[in-house]
Amino acid sequence: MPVTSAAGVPGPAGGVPDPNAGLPGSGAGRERLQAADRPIPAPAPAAEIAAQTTRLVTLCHGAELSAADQGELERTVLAQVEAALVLRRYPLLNSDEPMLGAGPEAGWAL
Amino acid sequence: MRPADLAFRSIGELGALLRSGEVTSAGLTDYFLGRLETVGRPLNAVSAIMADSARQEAALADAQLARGLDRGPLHGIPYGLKDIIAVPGAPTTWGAVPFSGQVLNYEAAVGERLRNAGAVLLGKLATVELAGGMGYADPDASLTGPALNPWDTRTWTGGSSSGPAAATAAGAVPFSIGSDTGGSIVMPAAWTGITGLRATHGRVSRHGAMALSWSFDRLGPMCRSAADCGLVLEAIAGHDPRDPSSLREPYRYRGRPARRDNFRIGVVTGSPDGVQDEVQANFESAVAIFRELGTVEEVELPDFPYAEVADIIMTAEIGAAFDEFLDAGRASELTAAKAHAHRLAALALPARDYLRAQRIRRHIFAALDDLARPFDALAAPMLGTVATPADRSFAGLLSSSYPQLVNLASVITGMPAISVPTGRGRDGLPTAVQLLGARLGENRLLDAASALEARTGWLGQRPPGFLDDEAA
Repeated sequence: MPVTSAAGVPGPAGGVPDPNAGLPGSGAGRERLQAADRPIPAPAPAAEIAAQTTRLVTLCHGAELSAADQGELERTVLAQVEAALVLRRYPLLNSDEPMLGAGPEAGWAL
Repeated sequence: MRPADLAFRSIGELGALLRSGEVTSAGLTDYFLGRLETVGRPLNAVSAIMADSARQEAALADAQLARGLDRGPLHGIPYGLKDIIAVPGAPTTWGAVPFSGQVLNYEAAVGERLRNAGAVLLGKLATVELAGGMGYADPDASLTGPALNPWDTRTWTGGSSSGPAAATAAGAVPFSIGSDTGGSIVMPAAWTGITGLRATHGRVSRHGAMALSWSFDRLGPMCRSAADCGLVLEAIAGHDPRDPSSLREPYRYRGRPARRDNFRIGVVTGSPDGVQDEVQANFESAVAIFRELGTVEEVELPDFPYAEVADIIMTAEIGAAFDEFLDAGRASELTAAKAHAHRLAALALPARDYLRAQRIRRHIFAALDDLARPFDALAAPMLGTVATPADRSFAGLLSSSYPQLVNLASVITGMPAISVPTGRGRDGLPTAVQLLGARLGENRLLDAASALEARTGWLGQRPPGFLDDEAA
């Protein structure tokens, strides 16, 4: 197993070169492929994400939804995507742990 | 004693009457069973009346008092439970058509503790279907119809603890137990002019109560005074191994020196902006009272994405708690049209986003705890408006208001909050202030709330037409 940094770049593993370096699937290979072969796409607008997600949810759910229910679902998904985008703008450290609950197990000693 | 003198008595007053022999628990129970039927049902506040078991419990309470066994301030006092709380042998409908025949033959911890405290369970009180967790935008989203506000029966109580709010405000029960995930105790308390306490997360075991959002759900008292809330909380608080979130810290309301002044209150800057004029005026009057009782300082609510954090966490947890229900397509059986597909969105919520919300939540908790700890309470209007019409959608009314952000700060952090009436606003309907406290700071909140109640004169006010002699 190659040792990689947080950025996915192969690091020194006892001085032994990573035999998979440069191949698809390894960190450096992925990065090179993304950079060279296909541009990293810009994030889709929230409405587009919501529309595609709604189709997926409907597909996964399996039940037929009325047009009104479909509309409600799409509005909710859109709000959810927008909320998630707001949260992604909030800066977090790699070490920031989730607070799963507000009870005694959740780090009240902060 | 005329029965009309009993309907709006405090727990302390009813207890004194019981111990002096002026009334019996059996007499109180019969009286309030009648009130539930004649007053509670027309308000759509009642899910089930449990007359037989209530009379048995009352007879036991009387017999125990007669032989000198006094279980404390709730001994012999009747009450009601929100119908998401399990009681063996009685329906537990969760307020929803798909569960209208549900009977859960185990006893919720909160009911068990109240029974051990000698309280008498009269019945189950109405709730918005599934405590509103599947989404709703209209007051009629309940198995029992829209709960009507005793202050004006053309208006709604708010939700989701709508039955407890209506029944307590109308003097159909001396107190009740509600549940709160995003404001379901404090909001209907505000609109019906009662006092609702959402204690620190973990103070009260949720064992036996319908789970909606595990890291937000709380049970708590809905009463006609802060002092009553303290007495009830003392009876229901405490660790329960069946609820892993329940706290080990003991809670006592009685037997301590209660404070009546010298409070330090932080008023949340900007929180009254945009609320109805009367809500603002009553809030400012409450702040003026606190200024006379101690010190008042302006505080800034830290800048966090409160609404987004709350939405993402609730979506994920509610979607998980009801995954089989949603997968089976049964949400389409719910009354609220909004509920039919609303929570299917949980299927599209990445775990990463849920965890990100919970990671931000830790920052919110640290900042809010730092902010609240030096104060007895942080104050803001509870809701921006008085109660809205019972036959109209309330969509969009609550989510965008500043008071709701303050409420969400308490929801997210698990800090205690209490809704206290401040007076009457538009059309004579009640207005309220929310007081937020630091973790485990319930007694500081309750003392501040009691001091405010004593000065506003609210405790003597009754919804018109709900005394027996008025009704006659």
